[in-house]
Amino acid sequence: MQRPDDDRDALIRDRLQQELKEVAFTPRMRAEVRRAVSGERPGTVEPAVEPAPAVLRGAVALAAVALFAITGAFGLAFFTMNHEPQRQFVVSDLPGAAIIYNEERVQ
Amino acid sequence: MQDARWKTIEAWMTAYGDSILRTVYLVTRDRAASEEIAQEVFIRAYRKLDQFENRSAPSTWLYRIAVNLARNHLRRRRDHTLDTDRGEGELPYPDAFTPAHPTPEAILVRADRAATVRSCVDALPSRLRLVVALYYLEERPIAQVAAILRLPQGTVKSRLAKARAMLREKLETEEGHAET
Repeated sequence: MQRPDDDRDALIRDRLQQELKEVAFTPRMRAEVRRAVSGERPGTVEPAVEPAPAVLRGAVALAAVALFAITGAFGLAFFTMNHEPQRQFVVSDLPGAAIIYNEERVQ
Repeated sequence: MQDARWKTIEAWMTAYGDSILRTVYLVTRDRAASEEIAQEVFIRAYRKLDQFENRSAPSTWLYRIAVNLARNHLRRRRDHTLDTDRGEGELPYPDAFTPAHPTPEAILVRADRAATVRSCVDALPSRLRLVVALYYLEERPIAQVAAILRLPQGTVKSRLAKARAMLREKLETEEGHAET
């Protein structure tokens, strides 16, 4: 059906729209909807439900400690691997036994 | 609160909040009730968003919820017929719907213009007011009005024709009185 386009229809439409143009869904009503769906009591601030960040912070700290420990262990291993033994003990350095050993060699 | 769900409802409140409130108000003629119903529309939409299957436009779905709630309200109020207990000197719409500080001249002009069409629409039965609200006020096409009201298009057309005839007659009578 085509919309009638005579003056009277336009008048009805214009006047209705003019009459009700100030009827608005206000921020207060929007807040009421939000409160209703979030189960929040009027006048209270919605509680922040954020368990995740605390857990995340703990996990990051733990990972940092583990990384530090692993890096330290690898570093220690690296620096100790190429070092010469501090001293090569030979039999001759040993008191007593060395004398005996040398004497044996001399003989 | 699920963020995506709330964002959808927020967008719908922005897009359709005013028009749903206006429609419900035109049908119920009760400021407090129309505000409650408009809010309830979006609360229900939030809770039943999973059931919205995109087979119709969101506005159609929301209007359908609004119409059902308005009908229930009217049924409870047993107000399917004329409401003649409104005071003669009462302004067309309650204070909450008027600007914060309108001038006296603005109030008089608005009241005078609005009183005629308002009284004519108020005189219609609620089933015709619904059609008038959706077709004239919200400029919904016949097919969408039929979808919202769950009526055949032919029924909507006949109700619209009846409402139009009654409105024309009443407006002419009222304006005739006003001119004399």
